[in-house]
Amino acid sequence: MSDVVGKLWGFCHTLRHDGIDYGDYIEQLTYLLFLKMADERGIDLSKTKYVAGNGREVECDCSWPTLESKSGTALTEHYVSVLQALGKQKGLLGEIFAGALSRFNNPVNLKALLGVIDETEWTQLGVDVKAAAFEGLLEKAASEGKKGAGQYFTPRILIQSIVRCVKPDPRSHKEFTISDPACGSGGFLVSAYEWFIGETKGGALDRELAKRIKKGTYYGQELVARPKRLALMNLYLHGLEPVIKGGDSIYEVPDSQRFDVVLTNPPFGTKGANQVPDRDDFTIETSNKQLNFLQHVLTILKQGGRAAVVVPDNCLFADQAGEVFEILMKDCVLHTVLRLPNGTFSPYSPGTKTNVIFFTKGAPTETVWVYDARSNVPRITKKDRPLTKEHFAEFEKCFGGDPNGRSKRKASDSKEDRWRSFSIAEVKERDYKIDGLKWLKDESLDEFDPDIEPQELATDAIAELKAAVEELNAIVAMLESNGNGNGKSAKPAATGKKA
Amino acid sequence: MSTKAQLLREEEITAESDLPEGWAAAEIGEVSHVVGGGTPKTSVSDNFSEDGQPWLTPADLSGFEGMYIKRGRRGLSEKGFRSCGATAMPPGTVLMSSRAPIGYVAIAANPIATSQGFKSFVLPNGIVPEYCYFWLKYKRDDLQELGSGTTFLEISGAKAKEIPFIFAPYEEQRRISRALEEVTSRTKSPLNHLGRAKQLLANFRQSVLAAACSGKLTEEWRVQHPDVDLNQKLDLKKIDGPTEIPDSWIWITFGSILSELKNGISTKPEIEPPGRPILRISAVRSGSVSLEDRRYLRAKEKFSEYGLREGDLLFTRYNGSLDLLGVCGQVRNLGGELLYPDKLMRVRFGHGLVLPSYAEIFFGSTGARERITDGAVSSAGQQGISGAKVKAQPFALPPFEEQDEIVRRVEALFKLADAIEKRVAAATARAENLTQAVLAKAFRGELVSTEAELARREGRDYEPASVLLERIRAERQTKAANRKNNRI
Repeated sequence: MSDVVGKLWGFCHTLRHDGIDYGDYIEQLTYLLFLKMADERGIDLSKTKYVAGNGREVECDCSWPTLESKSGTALTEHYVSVLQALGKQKGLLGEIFAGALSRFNNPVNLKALLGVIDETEWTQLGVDVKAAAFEGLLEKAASEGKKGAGQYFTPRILIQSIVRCVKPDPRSHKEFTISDPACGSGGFLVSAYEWFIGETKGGALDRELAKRIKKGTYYGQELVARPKRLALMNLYLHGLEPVIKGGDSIYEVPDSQRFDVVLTNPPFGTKGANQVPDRDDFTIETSNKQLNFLQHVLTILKQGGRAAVVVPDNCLFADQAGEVFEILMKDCVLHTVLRLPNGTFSPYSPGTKTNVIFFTKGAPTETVWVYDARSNVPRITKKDRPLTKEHFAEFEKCFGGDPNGRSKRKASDSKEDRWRSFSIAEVKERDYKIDGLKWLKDESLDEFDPDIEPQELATDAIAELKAAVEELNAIVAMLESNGNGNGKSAKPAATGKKA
Repeated sequence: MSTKAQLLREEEITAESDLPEGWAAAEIGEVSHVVGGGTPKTSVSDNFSEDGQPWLTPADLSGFEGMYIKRGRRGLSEKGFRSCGATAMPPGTVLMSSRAPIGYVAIAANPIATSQGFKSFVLPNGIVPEYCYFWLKYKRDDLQELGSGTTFLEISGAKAKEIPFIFAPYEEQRRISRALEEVTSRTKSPLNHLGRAKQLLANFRQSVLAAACSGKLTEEWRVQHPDVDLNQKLDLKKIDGPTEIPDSWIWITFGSILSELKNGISTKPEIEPPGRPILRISAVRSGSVSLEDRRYLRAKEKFSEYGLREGDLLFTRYNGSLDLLGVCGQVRNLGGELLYPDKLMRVRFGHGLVLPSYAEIFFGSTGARERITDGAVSSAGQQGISGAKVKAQPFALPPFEEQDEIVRRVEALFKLADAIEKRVAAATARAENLTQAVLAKAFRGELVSTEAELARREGRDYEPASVLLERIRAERQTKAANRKNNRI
């Protein structure tokens, strides 16, 4: 299996000189793999009809053998028209090829890649092998840290750990659904499915269940065309034909479908988030992207449904975070917060401090358990200290077997005092800003990691300075309230004598 | 009464008219019972007991950030307690270290004894312990002045009694203490944040250097200048580099682009002029050469081949600290003749391929620093690196135009970081004085409404501190008399 990835990946280096970066490469590979597999399965694409720009219906031979038989500029030109033709088809085909463009300038490179793909009998490979190969490529592209490759990639180690806690089991009941409203290349959905297959221990599923799982269990939404395409391909290679919608989850009012499980990692950062979404189901009006995603998740969960959402620290202390979390904790049991190690999103967003929050809709929160996997844990780096299963092993033990966080929990389950509970009163005291639920002292500040981008450090410094400003303002306010003769302590006496 | 204490006291008393309305001034010995301490023989281990009589030494208060203290690291066994002059004082006693160092303060949370390194104040009714605690904190600098002694400064019992004490009516003392607790508990936090910001800015510089040498800093610049590529043009020997760089850059050995690498003059210079100026080793820091850090050479030789030129790079080749070894700084704004000493290496470039400023940036980056100091030879506590090692360093060479862009960007970012650091430092300096300023405000009677004012507003009476003082004095006299009587 790693052979296949290795071979395909090795080829990528050749293509870099043709101006094709990792992300482009995987996209092109997606197109070609699809054509090859269609051919192996006997799907005839040789007479693909579509309506051309001039309004006339045109036929194009999109089959693999025809593509493979060509060379030179005839090949690159033919490839362009194949992509165009398939992009205009209906169904999965059209979705995968929507807006597809060729990135090949040099026919020799395209020809060579066709050769590499042709060598392998893709349909002969097991689902696990193909799927793993594709996932492997996605992961590799993300870890190369080039722009665009990582923005839709959540580390699989983290996803798998979350999935093991949340246990999205389609056998729970007949209408069981799971959604990722910011699905990127489909990592959560794929891992949820892989987890389920693991649970069945490879046993055969009855036909009705198999059908339901294939088409009616996994849902996603993704704004950006490329990751959406990769998600479709990724799930398709896993044998699923899910519904992946386009469009922006937080600006469009969702349809009436609600889900049993929502697993998601909304995009970080604030770009393009200036506009306040106009949605009646959002109680708090804010331009903060992550806070809006949280409100969206709140809407699309079924009563009793459960969610795990990856959020950056700023989403916990931003201006309206307290208000959003107050609502969330009234409507849901926010039972668990996992503070992720620094650098979890290395290398493409190494400075972003992140958390996972787990909640179940339908009852108010009484106790929040926080697991600190960050303090005094060496920063995750791409090469020397990658994220491993071990980073979350103790957390999963502490989380317990109940996906809604109702297992019996105790602080002593963590050897290093990383696991503690806070009552809702304590949370309220902190104005529902749950980043304040800290107790371990971080000693690792001095350690400098050259992999952190300067802009991340500058942002961190801004946060520190802002915090200093806030504290100083509080002190000023305190001094003013005391000094003007209306101090808190003086008040009772003063009002007592008012008459 | 000593002259100094007398002066202090007179100052307070003359200032009495300046006291807030209703306040009074006294010596602390007039309003409290001053108690010393003792230590049993330390050579006898069963004088001490972990869970015995709580007992403090000044060291117990070092780094202690709380206000109330229960016990020190060690306690006294009953035997130890009885064998020495330590006295157990009641909760609410204000404990002040009187030597090594002077002026740590805490309040006893329970009955506690101290070593002789303390003078403690057992307070009567009417004086709020927290108020006295904050007063002593406020007076910390003056307390140092009261110390005497030849080997180390110490406040004697007699001196401790003379510590001036100004105080408000009882209720006002309580209000002041509460307000001070509230405010001073928060003054540390902004400092922590500022400290972290400072550290982050230092890391920011390192991160900029790293981004400069990996090509990240000029990523879009390369997109805009696709034709700039150095690969084909050069006859330099490429090597396998330790990290990934853009395709248009190459890894070479540093030595392959040098025309010269030369150690300086070993003749010992003089500290003062006359003589010909020669740099000290300490003049070279990563990213800078301080031209004013110089010595003077009175030897007759001309040493003309050791004269520095604008744009020369200097590396330290020998240093006691690994952090200062192999650092590289560029000679800038050279005014006149200047030589350089033996422990520095001067580097000049042979090709017009390298901007010295870029090389300076490169050797300042964490990766290059690690490589150059890796396996440094240590002798007699000093660490050294050879010229051969510097020459063998892998060097990431961008096209000349891009080097120019890198240097421009790094300089601009560093200039901004400089400006921000200055502001952070200024903010830090002010925030550090915040606690003292708040204390000063409190003891000027300006932090909370005074009892006098409130009473007036509410049309009621209150007990001025002067009356309180008289009452305390009277009570103490009675007690002293009783004690005398009992003894007889």
